Amino acid sequence: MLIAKGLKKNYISKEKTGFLKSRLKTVEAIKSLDLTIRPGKIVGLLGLNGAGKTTTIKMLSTLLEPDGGSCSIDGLDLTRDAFKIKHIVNMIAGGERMVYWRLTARENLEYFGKLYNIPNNELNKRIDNLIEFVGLNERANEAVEKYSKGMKQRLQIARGLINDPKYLFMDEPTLGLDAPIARDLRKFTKSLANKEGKGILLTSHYINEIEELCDYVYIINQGQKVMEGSPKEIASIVANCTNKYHIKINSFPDKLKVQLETYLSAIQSDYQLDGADGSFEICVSTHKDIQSELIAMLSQQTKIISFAAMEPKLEDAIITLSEVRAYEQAHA
Amino acid sequence: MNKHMLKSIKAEAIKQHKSVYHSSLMYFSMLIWPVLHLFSSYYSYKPFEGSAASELVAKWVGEDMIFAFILFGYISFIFFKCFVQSAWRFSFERISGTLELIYLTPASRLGVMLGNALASLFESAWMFTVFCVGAIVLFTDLNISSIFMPIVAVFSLVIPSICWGIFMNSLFMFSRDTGIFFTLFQTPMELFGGAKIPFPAFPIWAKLIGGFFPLTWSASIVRKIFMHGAIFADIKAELILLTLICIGLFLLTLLLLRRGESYARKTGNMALF
Ligand SMILES: Nc1ncnc2c1ncn2[C@@H]1O[C@H](COP(=O)(O)OP(=O)(O)OP(=O)(O)O)[C@@H](O)[C@H]1O
Ligand SMILES: [Mg+2]
Repeated sequence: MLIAKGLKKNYISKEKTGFLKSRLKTVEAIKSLDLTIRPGKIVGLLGLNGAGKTTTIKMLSTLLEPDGGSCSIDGLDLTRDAFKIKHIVNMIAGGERMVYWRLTARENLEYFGKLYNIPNNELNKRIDNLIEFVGLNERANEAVEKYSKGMKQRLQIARGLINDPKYLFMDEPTLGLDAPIARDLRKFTKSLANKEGKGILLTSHYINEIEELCDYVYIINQGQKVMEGSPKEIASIVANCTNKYHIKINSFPDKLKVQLETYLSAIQSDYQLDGADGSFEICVSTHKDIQSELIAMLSQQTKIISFAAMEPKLEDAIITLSEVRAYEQAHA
Repeated sequence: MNKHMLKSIKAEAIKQHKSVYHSSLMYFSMLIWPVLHLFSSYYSYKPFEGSAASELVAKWVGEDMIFAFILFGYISFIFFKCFVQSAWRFSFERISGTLELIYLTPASRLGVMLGNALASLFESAWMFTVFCVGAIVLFTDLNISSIFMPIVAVFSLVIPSICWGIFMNSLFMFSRDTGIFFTLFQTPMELFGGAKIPFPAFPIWAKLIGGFFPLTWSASIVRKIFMHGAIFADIKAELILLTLICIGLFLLTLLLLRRGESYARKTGNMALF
């Protein structure tokens, strides 16, 4: 089991204040994070850009040293036993980098396998299995530079499994992949946890991905946990946090305008008006489900041309949740 | 040195070799490159003949030895240059993100640096052979005391240049601003290392700079062995200095690797470029 308590990471970065002049600035990338990953389970780490997802993953995979807190992985201490931990964890990041383009898939895997000191005959067996597993059999002896994005990404996954890690940290693994390939990858990730009992930490921007895969989810914002729970709980909170409706109407009489404004301000909500080529489009944002009320109100006074309820957006939910949290902290 | 380290050395050397010599064109260029270098060093010496600089060289090495002097200086320089270039190539792994993946593994860091340097030994050794054959063809009156001495010459090029290579590799791992190190080390090495101008002809301050470069002593040994028929006793002083420099470089490398990794773990600079 991986148990992290109060993990902290500060970056010191230089801020330019003029020509040749700079000031050191501390960025609190992770403020205090508790996190648990059980074998065979997939844990999601959700957050906006800059929330601290990559920083967390790099700390857990020993690439970054935490500035505070503690973490034990199967009884090993993240700081003290870093070299032992390297044998049982691995990391996979999205994107096309991080493999040797001029080597073949097999040569790439051989290289990393040897750095992990895997005995040769075992390594060969493992490479055969992994290449089969990620479906690169036919192209395994071709230089990686000739691969498509998806194939490079699959090689990246095989690389991440070369040391048969007990814990796997995946940083936006579906970044830039087509929907069908991303789907394959998700299936694959699931089987790694379910069939092979690996503990997986997965970061993502996409709530759907997290909902489909994860057993437990942490949402972080600006280095702090905003909430945690099962994906169902998270999804329902997200759904309740924000509702957006795009409505096209025929006309927008003043009476309706007043009525709408009074109604929305009573529930602390808002709307925007955009109109092009003589039509009126209103966009209502609210944290309540007011679809039927809106339709009733509008259809009384005008003709509704179209009505679209937008999918709740994770981004909006995170912002709302962080605001709520900040408010609670300020008033605690 | 344990088995895991040996494995890391071998894996890195093979990987590096494969990613540099990925096409047969590279092997072909290896055939052309040293020949071009040989010609260019020969013809850059031509206008040099009769100039003030050539008189300086002549004063120290003798009129008829100028070309041999330049040639063997060049051979030695090429040996070291290959390693600096390979270190520079290695620094691109930061950009491709693979450096971080190497550090993700429990592989011996020193082993990886060593393996990487060994990969370019292949290139240097090849250049060296071509140059030596060229030297024998162009310059027939080589003066070698025994068949044993050229082997000493090869060792006094190989070992210091590998030490230089791993030192460069670890320096380039430490910092993102590799360009600075490149100019900081490559140009002075060429200038003060005695590759072109005889070391004894330098003013004292230049000698102080040049003395720190292992190239200076390697080149001196190579010249003495091939041009002056030196026996072992004639090069003892250089060999001792060279050994000290190598030990120093090795210790510095170990320090840089350790410091570099903990610095990278603090600042996260391994992913920056
Ligand atoms: N090496 C670094 N030096 C200084 N600051 C850094 C460094 N790496 C990250 N940061 C800062 O730390 C914070 C967290 O970054 P991190 O990369 O962990 O976010 P993330 O959640 O992975 O974002 P994204 O979704 O964009 O990948 C950001 O404010 C970022 O600017
Ligand atoms: Mg990230």
